[in-house]
Amino acid sequence: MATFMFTRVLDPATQGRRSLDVTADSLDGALKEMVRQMPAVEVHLFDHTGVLRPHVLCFVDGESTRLEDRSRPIGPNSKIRFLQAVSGG
Amino acid sequence: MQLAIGTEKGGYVLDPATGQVDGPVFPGWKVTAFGRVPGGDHLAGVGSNWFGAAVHRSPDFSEWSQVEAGPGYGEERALSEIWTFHAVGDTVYTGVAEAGLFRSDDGGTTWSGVEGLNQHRTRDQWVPGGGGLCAHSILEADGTMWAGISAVGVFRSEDGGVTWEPKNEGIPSPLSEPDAPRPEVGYCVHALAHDPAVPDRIWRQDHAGVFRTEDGGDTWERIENGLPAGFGFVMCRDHATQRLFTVPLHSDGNRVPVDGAFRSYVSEDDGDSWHVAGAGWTDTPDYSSVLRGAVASDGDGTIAIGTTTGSVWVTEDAGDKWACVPARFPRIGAVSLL
Repeated sequence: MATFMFTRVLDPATQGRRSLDVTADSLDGALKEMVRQMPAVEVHLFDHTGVLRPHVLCFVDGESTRLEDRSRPIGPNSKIRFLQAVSGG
Repeated sequence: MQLAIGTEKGGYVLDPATGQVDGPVFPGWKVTAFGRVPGGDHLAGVGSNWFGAAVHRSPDFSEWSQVEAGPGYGEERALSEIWTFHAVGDTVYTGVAEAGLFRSDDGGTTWSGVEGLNQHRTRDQWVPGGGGLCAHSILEADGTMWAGISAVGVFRSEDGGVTWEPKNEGIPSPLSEPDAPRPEVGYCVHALAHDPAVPDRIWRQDHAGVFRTEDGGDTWERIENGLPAGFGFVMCRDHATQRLFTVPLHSDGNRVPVDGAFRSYVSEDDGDSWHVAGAGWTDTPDYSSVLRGAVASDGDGTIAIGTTTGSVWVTEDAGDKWACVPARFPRIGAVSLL
């Protein structure tokens, strides 16, 4: 079981839900399950080409990542956090 | 009567009679457009410079949910902002940036591109202007449609939106070379209005001034008699009185009212001449401007105008008397009557 955690800025897309537990072995699997369960979030985290939006931060188990390596394994207690943008003024 | 106010930081509901404000909805997000599914849900265009844009839907303007299968170009190009909604029969259209139109035939649940415009043969010549590259104005009457795209121009469709042709003859060429041939596109329309009873007479607030067509856009003529400036973003028709309203700004390089005199101007002769609309305006210098989506009319005397400094002006007698509502908001980009 991995847990996604969302900034409250995303409340309009998540209906106020700040976390989501998913079962997956890889980051890619976890992301796909997250989008399946919360499809409205996808357009806000990823651009039209599927790349993480430039000012959105994602931490996987405390490590800042741009999600390039989506094949990386995740553990049963992994935390995947999407944070509010901190750039842009 | 209540007003929906879309701002840089959330959406609000305003009772102009009392100044009571409810909200915000979508706190922290830009609310860029309001609309309504024919006979059904409210719609809101909501966006963020960081998290992108989406359409939200509500049965009561209180509980909102994001449309999951919203408008989008797929991997072809980005959709960065929702600019307008326009209902035609059972269909609702939205105009977006990067410029294009999308339509929903199922109450806003799913959306598909208006490909005759979105894939237009001139598309590779569409270049963003100061306001980006957005489709912001939609008109329709008896199967004929018009779309206004900033920095591109007006397009007309005579087959219900299947095929489109640019209609900008009479608008000054965007090219500075006097002998250069007129390009098909590159005309920066800011707003459109018409009277459905006479649909081919269209008024156009353009980057280059104020214009009118009597033939559905085939030819345009300048109509600025009495205006202190031709620049602006507003064109609004009160159908009951056949009055036409705009809010002039000094120029494209100085987008504020001339001499700080914030006023709406009215034409009572279909644009032949203009004068200050009624009374109630402040003599205090006011350098607010009005953006293209921040004007709403019920067509029967009530008009509301939101400004870039967060004030809201309302008339309920077709412009004879204006009052500034005692409430202030973040920069206003969208106004709608509820």
